[in-house]
Amino acid sequence: MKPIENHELSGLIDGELSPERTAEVRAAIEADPKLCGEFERLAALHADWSAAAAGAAFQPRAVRLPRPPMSLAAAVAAALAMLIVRFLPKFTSAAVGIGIELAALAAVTGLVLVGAQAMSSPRGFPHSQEVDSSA
Amino acid sequence: MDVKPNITAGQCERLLEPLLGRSAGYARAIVGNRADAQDMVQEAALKLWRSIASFDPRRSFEGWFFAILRNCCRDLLRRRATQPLCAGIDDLPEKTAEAQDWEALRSSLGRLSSTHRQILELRYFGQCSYREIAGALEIPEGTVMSRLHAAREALAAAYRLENT
Repeated sequence: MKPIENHELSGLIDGELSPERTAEVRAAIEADPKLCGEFERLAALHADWSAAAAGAAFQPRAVRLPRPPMSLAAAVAAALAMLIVRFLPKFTSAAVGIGIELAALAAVTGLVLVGAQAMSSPRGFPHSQEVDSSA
Repeated sequence: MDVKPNITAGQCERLLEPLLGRSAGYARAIVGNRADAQDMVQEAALKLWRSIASFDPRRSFEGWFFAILRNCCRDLLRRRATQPLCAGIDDLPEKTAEAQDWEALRSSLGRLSSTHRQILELRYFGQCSYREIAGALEIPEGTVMSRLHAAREALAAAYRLENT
């Protein structure tokens, strides 16, 4: 077995050792009172600091990222469709009017769906303020 | 975390959502108060979103967010022309025991080198895993354990110093 290094006690406390190494370090701690004392000291400090740091945590308001606005073409098309729905049935027979109205409603629904999709897409979003990704 | 380059704003919000609580505590430990910490989390999320196309998928997304958040906090402190760990703490009429505890920890961290302080802030206030810490500090995951151990020993000594 590879000798136990002190920093592996930290790894064990943090649950970051592999299962095999965890078993080896645990066995070594049980067999060596000095190592056991060292582990217990570190574990107690870790528990104290974790509890203390938890006091700083709070739930911030949800993040809302910007969406690109609906394109001008989509907005104009939606407005035209609304005008058709509002005025065209006056000049046509009832059956034709209802047909046109339904078609216009379907078009509006389609445009709304396309607009919603566009708004949730990153395309067209101004990526002007690049952040230092090496931060 | 699987982050695709064509991720939408809604998807990005959902990825950030589970990080908000611990990132708020992390920011608060750096800037010293809740209101600024809240603002920094929002600012970091926006900066992350604006540069999402440049995200390296080999890096931890969470670690990347914490790195951006740390930079936002440090920029704020620079704008205030104050030192990170000397900034104003929450101005509460009566400090709770909880607040006293984390402020005492923050004060002890202020005695350490920036290398040790940074890794401990990520581990305790950010509750980051080793992979996330490696991503935030851009160091190999294997280095995290030894550096964190050394930082803990330094913090234990600082604690002893403050309590004697």
